[in-house]
Amino acid sequence: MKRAVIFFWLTVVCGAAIPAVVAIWTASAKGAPLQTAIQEWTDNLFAPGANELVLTLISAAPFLLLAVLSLFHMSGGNSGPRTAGVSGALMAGVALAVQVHSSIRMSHHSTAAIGFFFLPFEELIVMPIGYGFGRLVSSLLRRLKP
Amino acid sequence: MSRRQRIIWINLGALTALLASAIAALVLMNGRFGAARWAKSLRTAAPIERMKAAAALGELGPNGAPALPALLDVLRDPDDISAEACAKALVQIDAQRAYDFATALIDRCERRETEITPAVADVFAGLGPVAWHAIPLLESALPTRSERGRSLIPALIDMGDYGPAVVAAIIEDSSNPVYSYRKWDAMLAFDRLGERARPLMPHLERLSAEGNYAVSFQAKMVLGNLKREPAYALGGLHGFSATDRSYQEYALDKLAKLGPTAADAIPEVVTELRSPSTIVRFLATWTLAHIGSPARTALPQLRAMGSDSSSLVRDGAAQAIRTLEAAP
Repeated sequence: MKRAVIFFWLTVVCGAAIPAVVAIWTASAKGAPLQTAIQEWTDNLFAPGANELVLTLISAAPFLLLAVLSLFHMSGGNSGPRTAGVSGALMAGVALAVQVHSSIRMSHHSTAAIGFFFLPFEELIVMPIGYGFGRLVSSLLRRLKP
Repeated sequence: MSRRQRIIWINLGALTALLASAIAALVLMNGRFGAARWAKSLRTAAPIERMKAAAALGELGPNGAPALPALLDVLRDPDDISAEACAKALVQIDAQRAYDFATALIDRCERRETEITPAVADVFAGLGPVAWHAIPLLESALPTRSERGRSLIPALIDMGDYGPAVVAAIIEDSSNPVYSYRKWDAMLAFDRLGERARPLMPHLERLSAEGNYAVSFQAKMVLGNLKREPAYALGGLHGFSATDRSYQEYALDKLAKLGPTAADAIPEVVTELRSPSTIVRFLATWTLAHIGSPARTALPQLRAMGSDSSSLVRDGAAQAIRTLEAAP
């Protein structure tokens, strides 16, 4: 149960933190000092045209869904393979979110931000694949064990 | 309840509380709390932040009312960098206050207490149709437009002046063989004229053959827009009446530029005369005036607007009645 709770909050934190971390990282990569980048992000939390809080909520939605499902799933027994599956789903989700957020924020195209609206749907495709992959790796490792 | 169930519900409860806090913060920032925060930025922040604050207040619409004193403070000095953005925000928050401000500014300009500087032209551009009384004043500045900044022609078009003086100025600037800001602004003005640029198509065809890529591309783009069917704009209000204010403003502006060809949309424009939004009611009167003689069927409804609570709407309706009665 403890592991399920840890994974639950880890997933929530990942979903909520990725947009902020990537925004601050890309602003720094473009030459802004770290403090300015953080200040810019907090100033844009409610600013029209930026709406960082709305973006965070949109981006976090599939992670919140994964967190809730994993809490029920991982606390229901057979924890080893299930943990591996949820870990796979989380890693796939994080990888996709980081890639999409950074490419949108580094893009020079004015319409790139449309990608933020597609991201949750892409996550819903990638996360189950990550879950299956995690369980597959887990079962392969168990078979390889002497 | 088992221990497992209790842990699950505690964690789900904590997550729900976090989500509720985020949503509450969004709601608060879109209301009085947000308006107060942006108003503070408007008074104290760096220039770029003040422009951002003014734009944010405009997005709040009527919810930005607590920031009206701060906006009017900024607008006392039209040279302030955020003055144009503040004028736009003022229209979105309280069109009646924007009209009162525009009337006072026009009065100051007419009494020569205020010059029509580039900054003042920018403020009129921000006010848009609400400042339609300023059209003669700004038109009189057209011959010296090179000294009045870049907003004079866009301001006149946004106020609804598609007349010969504006068109002549755009043609003159765009015909200049030397590529300059003035020529480029004239190219943008063709786009701003929308359907009103249709009689200028032969001139645009000539510009589309110019050697300068920026000029020829822009001319081709405007021509492309003109050659498309205007069905979208004609039905612009259909199904959207009284739903989204910004959409209605856009659709009414499009219909005004269509002129008499927008006659099919008159019943929908008349419906907007009963909108709860002051700016939409005013824009409906303004659009009917621009549609011209076919809109005479709406004269009874326009006369009924004489009892509207807003002087902006009453004056707009009176102006529309005069225009329609004088229309050929």
